[in-house]
Amino acid sequence: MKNFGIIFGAELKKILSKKAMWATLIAGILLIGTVEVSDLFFEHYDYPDISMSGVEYEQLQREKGEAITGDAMDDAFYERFRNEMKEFGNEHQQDIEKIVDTDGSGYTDLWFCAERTGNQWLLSKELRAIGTETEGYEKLITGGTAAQIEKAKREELIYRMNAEGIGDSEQAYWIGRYDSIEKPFIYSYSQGYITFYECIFVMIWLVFLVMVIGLSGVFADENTCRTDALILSSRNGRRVTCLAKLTAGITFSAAAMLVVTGTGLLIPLLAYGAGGWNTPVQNVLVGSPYDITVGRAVIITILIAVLAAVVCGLFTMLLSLLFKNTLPVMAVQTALLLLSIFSLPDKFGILSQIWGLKPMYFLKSEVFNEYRLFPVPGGYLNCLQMAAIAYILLSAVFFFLVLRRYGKYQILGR
Amino acid sequence: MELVLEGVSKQYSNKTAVDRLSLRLKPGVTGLLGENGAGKTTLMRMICGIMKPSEGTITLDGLDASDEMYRDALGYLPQDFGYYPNFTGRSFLMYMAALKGLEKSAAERRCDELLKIVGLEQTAGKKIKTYSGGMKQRLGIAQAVLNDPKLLILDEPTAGLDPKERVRFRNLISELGRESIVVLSTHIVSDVEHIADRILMMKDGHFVFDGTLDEAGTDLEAFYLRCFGEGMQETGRGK
Repeated sequence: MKNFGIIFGAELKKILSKKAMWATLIAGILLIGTVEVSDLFFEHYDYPDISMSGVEYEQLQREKGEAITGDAMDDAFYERFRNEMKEFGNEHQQDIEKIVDTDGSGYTDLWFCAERTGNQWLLSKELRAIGTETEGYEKLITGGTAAQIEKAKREELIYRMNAEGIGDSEQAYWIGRYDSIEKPFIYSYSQGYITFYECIFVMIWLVFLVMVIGLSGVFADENTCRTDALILSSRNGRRVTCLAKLTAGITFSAAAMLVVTGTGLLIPLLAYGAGGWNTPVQNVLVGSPYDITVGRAVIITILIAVLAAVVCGLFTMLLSLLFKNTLPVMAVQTALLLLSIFSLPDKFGILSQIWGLKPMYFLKSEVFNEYRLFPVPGGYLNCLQMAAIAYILLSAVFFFLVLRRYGKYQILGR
Repeated sequence: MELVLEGVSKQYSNKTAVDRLSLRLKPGVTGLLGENGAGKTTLMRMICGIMKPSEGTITLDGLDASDEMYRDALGYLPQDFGYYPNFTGRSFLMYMAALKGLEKSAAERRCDELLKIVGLEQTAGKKIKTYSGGMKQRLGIAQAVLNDPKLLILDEPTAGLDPKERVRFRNLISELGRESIVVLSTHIVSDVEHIADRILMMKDGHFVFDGTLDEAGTDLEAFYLRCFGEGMQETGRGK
């Protein structure tokens, strides 16, 4: 492994010298950042008595949200919420009992009061957790006890699992985890994290695009630049160079994912606040049965995203070695990216579950609401655990395939 | 020190590029002449271990061509020498030195020395994409001799060099040939004529001549044309 560090540095330099990759990365990050803060700058809220800019509106929601962050969602919490809404409703001739319009097309007075009092995110989260399919949900919001609301949330979880055909033992696994969360829930204004999860899918797409551009030439460019003969005839040109290329590719993949997801997280946290890190994940990912905090969910998401990036990076390098040309590598990867949009119906059982582990589909906030489990001796693995294992195993397979193939690399006719 | 080829063949699906060649080479400059498609480049690639022979073995002092230590003793300038356009001349040489296993400080010294020898010390900090064809060729020559190779394979090394550079390069090869095995493939008969201790002529994967300049006669070009037919147009002296 003599001179591994120098060769690794040179390989990284080759990857980073691609201007198209930098252009895509910078444009992508700017786009994501713009989307994440677009509500602040491109939205406008007009009410009969007042108009608010996006910044003013979000400021109102944030101030209110942060004022009640850390409060237990008990009877007193809901009472304060309702009193505040009623008081505002009385002042503005709004009836907070009126939740849906007469034609059932949307929320009216209650929603108006929530927006104006800065309770929009609380109301939105509660409505989604209870589920608007639940009979009498309106009364729960405007008059139910904390225990009744919590019961409705739990029933909604079971309802969703039943709707997806989740078996009894799997339901027991999730209900067990959900029940282990300390109740009443601690509320947290977590708009920063919510925005991060809303955009994570775009971030993953961006990283994969950047990776395909950056890594498709790792081996192929040596062939097209005709430098392969020089490398392969040198002492360190076989195993050491291959390991250096693989390590540089892995480093680039992981770093690209960390930079994009890190920036994608930092921007909304700066714009909307970073509160809620240690509160239950349900503050951000409504309806999730996981007994973890928001911070842990974010870390898990980023770690799995990094593992996914490494898998895809190694796969791109394998294609680069096989095709010795960047164009077919990009074509195959683009086809796979498009293919990943489709999902296999649940009726395909384990195949559908395995297909669901593909990075592009898997890395969405919905993954924390994925109830299907993978049976293993002695219990179950949830899809987060399974994805981590699958990505590590696949990475190892691609790594050794590249090493093996490169060991037999020959220069034939040009 | 001896390079030994025993029954080396390279068979493609519909063609035998190199046909059961056996050869023993000692230190000195060996010129390899032959028309296009004679199998010179295939033979050189096999000697460099970047193409596996279909049959036969290639060893340097008992080390197989696929061995890391064989490559440690090897310097190679391919016919289609490639480079990284965004690397500077110096960074390219440093990278090649790392590939060849040179320690950093030794590599720096050697790079400085070679950049001077090939006349690139003034442009060493410029990106290779700004180099002329001749400058790139000189850089290729420099990388080939970075590790003071015991076995130096040069495939069309003087292509793109002007007459002055060619003379300078011939002298360098002659010097290297005193202690190393140098195999020089070229179309330019005069290059071989001036510096080769031994001349090999290849045709259709076989050696049609293996001997010294004296054995070939005083006019190598005339001898070459007799071997390959008068129709050969690419052998012009001083080309």
